[in-house]
Amino acid sequence: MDALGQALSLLATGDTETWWTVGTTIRFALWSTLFSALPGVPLGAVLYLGRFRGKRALAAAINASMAVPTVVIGLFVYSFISRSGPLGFLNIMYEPAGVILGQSLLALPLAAAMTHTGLQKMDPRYAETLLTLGAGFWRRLLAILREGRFVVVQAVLASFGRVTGEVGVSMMLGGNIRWHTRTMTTTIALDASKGEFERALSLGVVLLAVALTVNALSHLAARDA
Amino acid sequence: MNRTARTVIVVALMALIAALPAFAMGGKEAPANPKVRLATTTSTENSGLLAYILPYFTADTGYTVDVVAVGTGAALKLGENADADIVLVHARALEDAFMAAGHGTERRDVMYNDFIVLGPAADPAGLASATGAVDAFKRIAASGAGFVSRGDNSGTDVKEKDVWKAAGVSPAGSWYKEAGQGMEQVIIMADGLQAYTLADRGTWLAIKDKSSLVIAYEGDPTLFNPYGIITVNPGKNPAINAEGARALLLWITSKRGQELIASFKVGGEILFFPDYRP
Amino acid sequence: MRDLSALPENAPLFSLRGLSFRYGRRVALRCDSLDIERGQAVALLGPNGSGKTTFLKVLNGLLGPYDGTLRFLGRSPGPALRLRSVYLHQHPVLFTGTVRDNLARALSFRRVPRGEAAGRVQAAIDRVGCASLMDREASRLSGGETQRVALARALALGADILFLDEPTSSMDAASQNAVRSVLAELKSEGVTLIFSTHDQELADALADTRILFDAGRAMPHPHGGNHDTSR
Repeated sequence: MDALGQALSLLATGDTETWWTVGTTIRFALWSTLFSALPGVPLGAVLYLGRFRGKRALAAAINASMAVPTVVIGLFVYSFISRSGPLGFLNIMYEPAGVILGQSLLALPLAAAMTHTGLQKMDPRYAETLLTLGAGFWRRLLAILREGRFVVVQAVLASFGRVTGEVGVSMMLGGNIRWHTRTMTTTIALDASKGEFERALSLGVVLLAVALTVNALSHLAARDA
Repeated sequence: MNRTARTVIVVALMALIAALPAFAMGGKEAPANPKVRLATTTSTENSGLLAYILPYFTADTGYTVDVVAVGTGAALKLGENADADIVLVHARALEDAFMAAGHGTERRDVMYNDFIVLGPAADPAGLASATGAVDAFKRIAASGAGFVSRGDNSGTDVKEKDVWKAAGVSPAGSWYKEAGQGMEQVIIMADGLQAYTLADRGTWLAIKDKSSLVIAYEGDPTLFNPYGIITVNPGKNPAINAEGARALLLWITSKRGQELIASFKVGGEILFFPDYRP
Repeated sequence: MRDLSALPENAPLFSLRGLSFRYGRRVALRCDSLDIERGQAVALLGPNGSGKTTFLKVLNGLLGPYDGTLRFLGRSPGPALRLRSVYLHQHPVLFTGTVRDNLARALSFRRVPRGEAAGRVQAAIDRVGCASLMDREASRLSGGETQRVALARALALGADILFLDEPTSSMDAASQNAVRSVLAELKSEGVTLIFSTHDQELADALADTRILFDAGRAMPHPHGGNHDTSR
């Protein structure tokens, strides 16, 4: 409890590095949410609307890939973007862009799966009406995402929550470099390993607040639906 | 219209937040490629040494240093893969192999600290009367008192394995736990288990106030822990900042760098002793 | 849109042979042999859950795949059927936006040019007597209004085959009368109407043919149900 008190005062007194870390985390997360939702949400809608061979296999693969541990994704991306890897020329290893790439890949299947299952829970009459009115595939896709915008909002929020809370990708691809790629979770990992629980806890409180906010917004979106 | 306006505002806000510039560290005019990436061990980073000396380096040269702190094995691997411009590690045999394989261009001694054996105050293995590091390790194995190993191929881990070898013990069994974690974490674990462990003095000094363990054995020259700095071979990859890496190597082994290392103290004690000899 | 000249002369509009459709293992629809001619008004009669909705959706191509054969003008139903037919749910859904947006978007789905669309939207909404609702938010409409607007949406598309699921259910008397008279007009224009209903009055007034449904089995009415022998 004492540690919690110290944690809160650390936040209240506006410790620059702590707040910088919070800002960096959110900055990374906004980009990676964007880059995961941009392909992920339409992919989920394709799974919902499409009738094609291998659809079940694709949906199963997407579901399975959500279970891949973050460090495995980190390792996988590392093997590509390391300067000795095939994408080494991009020079994004231990750079924000590297973290964002890894986080985007991490959240992409989540965005797709959330969209897919969310649309499945929607009234099937919307999809049927679009079909019977003679809308082409891409128009149906746009229209169903418009009608199911709360599903999209929830998928995007879930992706945002996922990337702010993950540590494996940020640690492995960002290297936890101070004033550069250090995020809330990598700071927590570092501080906890050093036995400095106060700052770890203060960031834990912020993470919790982010998670609760995301959750509240998600419920709000569902209620507005 | 209303909805459109709202969408525009939300998008604009997101763009604004996303574009928030990173706080830049101050420094003098930047060199052409002002960033040097240093792969090093958790002991140098977590003890606070780098955070203490590197701002001086930035002020002196204009280079900023991105520090990636991992185990010695991983740090050398990052150098080998050209993901770091320079490495600062402590495992002489691995460093020599790194140089021999052509991964590095120049290696210099920087500083040393020493390893110490930590254990519970009750000292169940009787290390107080040990005659040397090898004897101390034999006593731990014989007594069956617990031992927590880094088990992560770090410099500390390599040293520990060397001592076990010299003691003729192949450590295994329920008394021997391989943690696969950083030094602080291993000390915290050893504390929790009231077991022995091998630690570098720098980390120990930084964390000892939070631990009930004590130094159970110290002083054997075998436990000498030298740090070397190696610039990565720029022939590996054009993105390597060879100038910046060389600047750091020269600076840290300069009179100023060496004095700064010696002036870094925790709880009034010097953690790292500079030992570069031209 | 209603140009039938290029189509095979003698083939019925729909022709079903040994058709069956299942949800999982449960057979939801079986039909041994049935033809539906163009321009007919066909009433689907039977208790709830007897397969009427499934029948409408299979014919409109919303449900599939099925076993057996279904022919549209002698061929496999394809894009031609999609372009000429619309299915209306018993409780239709409208999309976000005003009534006008809804009708205009349906036309944009079929790539009708904007200039032409505005006129068709107005004509269709006038026809169902809902001109006053044009700029109302679709989500604010009552059930009966929603049904009439959905009908207008189908009319705007110029479909000449309408699949209607209980078109007059849950409506006040005024709406029912309006819909009945629109359907009668459509019939006289040669539009094929295939509708399920519990509304005996509607069936009597409109139907050329009746199909009886019982536990998923679709059978032509034994007496043909054809009251209007002049056709």
